Amino acid sequence: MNAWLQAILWVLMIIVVMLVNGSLIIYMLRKVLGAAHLRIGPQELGPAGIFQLIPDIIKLLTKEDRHPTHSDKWLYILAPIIIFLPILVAFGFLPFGYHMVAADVNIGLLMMLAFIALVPLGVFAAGWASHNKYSLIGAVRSIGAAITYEIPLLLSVIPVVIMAGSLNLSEIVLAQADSIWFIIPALPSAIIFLICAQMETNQAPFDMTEAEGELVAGFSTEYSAMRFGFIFLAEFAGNFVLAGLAVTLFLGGWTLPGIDPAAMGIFAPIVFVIKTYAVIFLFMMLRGNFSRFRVDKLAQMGWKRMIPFTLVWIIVFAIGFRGFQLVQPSVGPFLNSLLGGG
Amino acid sequence: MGLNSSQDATSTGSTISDYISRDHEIIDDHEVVSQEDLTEGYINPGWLSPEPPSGITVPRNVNRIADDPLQLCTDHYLLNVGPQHPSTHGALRVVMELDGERIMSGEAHVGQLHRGIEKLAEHRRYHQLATLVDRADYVSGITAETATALAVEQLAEIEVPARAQWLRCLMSEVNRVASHYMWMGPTGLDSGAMGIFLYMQHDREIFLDVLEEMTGQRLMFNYVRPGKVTGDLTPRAEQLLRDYLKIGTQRLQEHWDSLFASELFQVRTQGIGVLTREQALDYGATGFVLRASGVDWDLRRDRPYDAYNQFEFDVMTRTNGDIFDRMVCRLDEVRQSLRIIEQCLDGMPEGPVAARVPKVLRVPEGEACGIVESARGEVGIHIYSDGSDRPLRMRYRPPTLYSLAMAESLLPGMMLADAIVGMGSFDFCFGEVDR
Repeated sequence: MNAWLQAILWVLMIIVVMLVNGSLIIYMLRKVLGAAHLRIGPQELGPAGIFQLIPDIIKLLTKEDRHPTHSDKWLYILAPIIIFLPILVAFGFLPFGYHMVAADVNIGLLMMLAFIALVPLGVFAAGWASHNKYSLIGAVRSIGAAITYEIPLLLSVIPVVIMAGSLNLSEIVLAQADSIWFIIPALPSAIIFLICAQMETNQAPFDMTEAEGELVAGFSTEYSAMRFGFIFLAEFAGNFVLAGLAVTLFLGGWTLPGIDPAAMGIFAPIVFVIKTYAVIFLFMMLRGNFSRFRVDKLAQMGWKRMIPFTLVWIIVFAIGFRGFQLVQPSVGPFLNSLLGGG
Repeated sequence: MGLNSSQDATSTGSTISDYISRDHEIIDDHEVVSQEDLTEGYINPGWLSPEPPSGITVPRNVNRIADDPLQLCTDHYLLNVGPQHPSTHGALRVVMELDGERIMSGEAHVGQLHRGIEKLAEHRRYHQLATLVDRADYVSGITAETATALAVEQLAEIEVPARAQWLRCLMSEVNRVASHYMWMGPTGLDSGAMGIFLYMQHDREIFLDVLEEMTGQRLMFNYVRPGKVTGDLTPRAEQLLRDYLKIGTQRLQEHWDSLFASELFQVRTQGIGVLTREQALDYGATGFVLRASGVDWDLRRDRPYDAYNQFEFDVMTRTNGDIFDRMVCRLDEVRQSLRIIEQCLDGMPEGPVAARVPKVLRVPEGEACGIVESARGEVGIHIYSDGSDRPLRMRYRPPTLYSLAMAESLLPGMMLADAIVGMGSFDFCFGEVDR
């Protein structure tokens, strides 16, 4: 197939996945949070309110698209795109199946984290350009939070890289198919990753950038119509990307234990999406009923707890892993016999 | 105090125009604010902020903290919070001077919801006052109505039937629980916990159902009138309450588990917004604010009105006076209210619910004050009568106006996020503050 045609198809597919994912997550969020709050959620339009999204989109599309009088007009227009694009690119590195990845590069993990780290810049641009003090406070908070969680996020994936011996996401998945899901040896890393992902996607209890009770809507206070829709879509896509990355790194990606990865075929993306939505469900349950972190407490947690912990954990893990490799010839057969593998 | 101010004016020889011109002088005097006044008490933080922020809305005559030389001091800026803000709980406007996220000074502006209720009361018959005070305290109307009725009954010397007194107590407690739930949930929401708000609304709904069943209204009850209450206890209301009493303790435990026991919430509320015992007494705190600061005082026990001397309940006090203690104090009060409700239902005396009161009630000349323990503190209704069928002057003493002064005094030095929760923890009801 022509390389250009292939690239265009991938981009189209990613956009379709992103839109479908956005609508699915909105519905899921309303129903899951509703159930967690003893509410019903949408129920009027269609069976169990599944068509509620359609009037929502019509509303977003037909609303007046205005910008505040003293705002920085071009930055204001650009900001939602700056939030949206990195997430779109990060989609390209997610392996949906065997060789089913838009950009199968050797530094996939690094690229993905780098693009995700661009999102706070867009958030800051939105808050800065809005010419609103609430937006600005939200924007400054987003930068403060970003430098807090980015470092533990990067540190938490290092044990996975040690185990897989590669930064290529496809190879990380295959390495897990060969051995075990990396969540089992690197559980602390998985927990840190989950917390940082929750921060990355601005979800409660880490939603200081748009803290409703304090900052009205934080950085997106002045946004309306489809620009607001873009910010929202990017948030939900970010949800999917982070959950997908968690699945890829810790939960075996698109593989299932005991099944030959090459034989997964068309079931690979289905397995991947189901696992991803399970992680998203976990994210949503965390949103339900926690008080919001205060900014300084979050910084304290990041710098005084999570970063030292992950650093020590990396050293402990590396020593432990090396030791395991050294004694593996003796314990390997024993473990295999224990697991019935012979 | 002269009852008739125009008489005083003529006796001292001054005219209306004298008054007006003097008022103008006072206003003019107040408006002239020199730059020195603005900078009074302001400590120059150094190279970053040579000048204080200027403009007519600079908080002045309020406490201002100095910059901490050990921290990076940035330019101060003003933030106008409210009156249209998701968590000012009504129409409160607070102008804050912020250094980053830290509040250097803050000034609360009230009056956005002023409807002249005290003046309107001068044109209402005594029976009609209940509808006005309902609109003042729109979250726990029954207690304010009771205060009005008590004042009028003192003036007119009306004997209230025992059953009516018990029903007042019952409905006050039902309303108190509904009000406490209405407050604890949103304070949790201020701190970011969304679930607890809806769980508590779930419970409050039952108590609103009871109020609706008994009074026909969910908000403006118009239930307690001088000498009587307007409705007897219905079987459905009793059933609803008995059903809730069975699960009440368990529900409170669930609320505790889902919000109060959460470490995140404790970190956000413990040791923050501390009102000491002395401060609370100085500022005229009443009700749960006073009890959370360690003063053992409850009108229901110490100066019982209606049938409160016949119930057995504890006055819940806490010692720290921070946000967490104010929350816990009220959660405990809900439990005590449930106890009183249970005793009310068990021991309700038989008899009429209304004394014989004339349709147009004329009370003798004089003055009387009805004070009750409302959900937010002590509500006092002071009525002056000139012997006609309408009060000459009615004074409504709102507990939360005083709480607002306390909250304002606590602002300097707090973080913005804490200030929102801290102000919410005093449970302002702006219908009541602005009247």
